[in-house]
Amino acid sequence: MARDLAIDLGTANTLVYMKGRGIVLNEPSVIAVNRQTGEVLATGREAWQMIGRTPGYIVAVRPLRGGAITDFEITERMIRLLLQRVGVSRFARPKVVICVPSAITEVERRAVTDAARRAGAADAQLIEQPMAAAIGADLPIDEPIGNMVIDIGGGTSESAVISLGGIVALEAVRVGSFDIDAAIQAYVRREHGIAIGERTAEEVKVAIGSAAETEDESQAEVRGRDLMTGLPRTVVLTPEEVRFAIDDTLSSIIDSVKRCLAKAPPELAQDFLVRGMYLVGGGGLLRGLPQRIEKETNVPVRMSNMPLEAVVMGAGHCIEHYDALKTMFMGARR
Amino acid sequence: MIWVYVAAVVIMVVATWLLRGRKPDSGMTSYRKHIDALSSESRRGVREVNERRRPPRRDDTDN
Repeated sequence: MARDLAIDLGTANTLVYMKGRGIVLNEPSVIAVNRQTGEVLATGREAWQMIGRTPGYIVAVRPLRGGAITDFEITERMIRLLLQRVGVSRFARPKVVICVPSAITEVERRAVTDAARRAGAADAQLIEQPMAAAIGADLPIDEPIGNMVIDIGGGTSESAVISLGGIVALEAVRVGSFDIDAAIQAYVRREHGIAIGERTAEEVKVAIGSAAETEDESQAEVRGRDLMTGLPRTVVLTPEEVRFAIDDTLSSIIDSVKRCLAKAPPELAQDFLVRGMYLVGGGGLLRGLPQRIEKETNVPVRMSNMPLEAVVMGAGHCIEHYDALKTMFMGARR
Repeated sequence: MIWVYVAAVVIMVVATWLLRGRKPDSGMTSYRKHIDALSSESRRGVREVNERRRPPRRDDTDN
């Protein structure tokens, strides 16, 4: 019998939860393909290591941008490979619950479900990431209490107010931690005249990136290609420079949190002051971000215990209680 | 001949009983099930499933 699956098909990472087994896969959402033959050469971590380092005939790509499928065929192949890797055979045909950003369009939703069905799923249902995150972060969303969750992913940032098992207010922007990396790349190019790759920009963010001043203000050496001479060059970046580079991106994320707070009914809004807002997703790990959100909204911010796994754990809960929770799926409410 | 009628009646009774069992839940029952499935106790099961899979953490100081 097929083991049903919950998939967090994120812009940055893909996680798979198998019914009765837990999280069975956690890898970057990257696939490397031979351009000439169309053959898949690598997926996940192996393909991630190839980004920006491939010869002309190989392309290592992230098939999702902003939480939406940019390359339907590659996404379908990636899902098919995911199913194979977690041990689902071609004939098993499991039920699949896939987490998607709440802001995706009807066409994008259909692209995800079609990709999953073509890849071998008997049934593919979608659930909004903030809802899955709230379930996975173990917030008491079954109670008449205002629960606010902020999910900052690779391509999208979503804030939701949830009470009595449903979403009360929702706000999403297609800005995420990849946009933070892109802002660092653009800054280094503009101010220091060197080109750096997206992996280097991510490393800079992890090493010295912050949303507010921190105790450790150590600098980082960045190596790239000089735009004038074309030769390799090293520059030193300070945390203050990185904060300046990513400020606009962070502001648009925080503005969406504020808009979500403003949409919340007053009865629930008062709960946030006591209970706080919960931050999940890889983007939430940026140093000083909880403090900055707290400062700008005057609402306490708490980190989830499992920020990277909360979404797939929530979707996993839905697959374990499929019949009771199927009204929660995106198609069921229309 | 009578057995044919008896068999038809039995089949109809069984079919009616089965179809009643498949009747969708009322709104209130369905909502109650939905809320119960989201309770903290219910979610504990998923965490336990995942914890069982996770390999035990080794102390980094061990050689």
